[in-house]
Amino acid sequence: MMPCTLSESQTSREASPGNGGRCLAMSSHGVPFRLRAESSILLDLMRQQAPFGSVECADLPPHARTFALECSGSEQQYQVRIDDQVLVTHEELDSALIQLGGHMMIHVAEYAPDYVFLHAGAVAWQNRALLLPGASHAGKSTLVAELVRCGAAYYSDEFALLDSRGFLHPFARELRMRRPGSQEQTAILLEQLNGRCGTHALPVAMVVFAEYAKCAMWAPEAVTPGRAVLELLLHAVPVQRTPVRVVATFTAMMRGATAWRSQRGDAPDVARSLLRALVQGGAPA
Amino acid sequence: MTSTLRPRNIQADRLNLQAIGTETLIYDERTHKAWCLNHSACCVWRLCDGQNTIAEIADKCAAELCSPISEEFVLLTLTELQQQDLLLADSITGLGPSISRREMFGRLGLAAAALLPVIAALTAPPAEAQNGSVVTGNAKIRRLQGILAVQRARQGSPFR
Repeated sequence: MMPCTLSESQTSREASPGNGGRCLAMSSHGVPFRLRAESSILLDLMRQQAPFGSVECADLPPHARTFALECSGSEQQYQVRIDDQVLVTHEELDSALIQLGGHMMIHVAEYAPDYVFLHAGAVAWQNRALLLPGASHAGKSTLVAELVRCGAAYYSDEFALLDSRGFLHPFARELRMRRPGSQEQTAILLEQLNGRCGTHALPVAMVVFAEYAKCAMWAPEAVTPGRAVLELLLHAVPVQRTPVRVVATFTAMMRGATAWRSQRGDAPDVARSLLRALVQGGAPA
Repeated sequence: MTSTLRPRNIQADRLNLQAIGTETLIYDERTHKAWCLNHSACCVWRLCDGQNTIAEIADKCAAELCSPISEEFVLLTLTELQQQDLLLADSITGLGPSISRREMFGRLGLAAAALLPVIAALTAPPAEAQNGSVVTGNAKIRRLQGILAVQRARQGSPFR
């Protein structure tokens, strides 16, 4: 990341000539990007949607992607644009902002030069990292919250960041959980869970593919390292762009890790099993 | 018929191979398809170079795997490799039906069942497929939307 201190004289927020709008230069995990909006209010709302860890910058390289939010005509519809291509149009501003935030996040996750972004929950217990790969709605956040409640250090409920050694780095955005049957996410403070954030890079000890299913029985089966790497590809954001790097990262990670698969029911019992297995080794039964 | 076959695996230049313990991960950068082969399957696959016959593949695999490998075993593996598009189709025309996995398991016995070829495959998704952004309501933003609408009305024209 490129931290910088803003002052009025710096050009990170500047009028974009020709359209009366405003621009903001930002960077997240080594990926530069630009925000553009017609007003300062919109620009601030867009900045709030920027990926966790984003900082404002003074300069941008020419190739930096531009994310813009524009109001189209008198219908008051909001267009989300990426590099001047209209991506989607919404009548509701909050819908447009959330879509924009999602696309910014994926852009950073795909192009981050120093990390492989894996769609996974991640915690650590006694200096051993546990990854919970899974798509949205798989129940990652619920299980992560329970693990944190049990004392694990919180690394992320959405993306596990892995370096070239396969070590886990924190991406400790605010935990967000959905109520059963609802699409809406609610932010959960770590303090509410008596939790703490992880701060150091750690080797991964265990990867668990655990998708929630009501009344499912927890019965983990071992997954071979090769099969684990294969399945991890389904959740790796940059895999199509840099497959060799992604496969090498996962291979390095799995040298020291075990992998398991099971459907799971309610989180509390599963969380305790996982933490026990992290320390003792063996199946997280 | 099969004794004259010289199977050939798909072209290597677009494939990335990664050894993971005794397994091998293959990634096709053109189609973004990926496979994980166990030791047996990979052994047979690598020997499908367009030169080796079925019998020669069996002999060479037996040496590498330190276990007797029959031509029927190779044919079973070739069938599974063919089903996963890991072999050039025109190099295995006339392959014919092979022994089933169940029958092969019965012949090998439990101790040698780990030799059975295992091939898993999937297609890696594009980055956008990981975008889990969900549209939800937000009262605060709706209020701001109203404020912005008023501002635009006062300015008298849509933004250019």
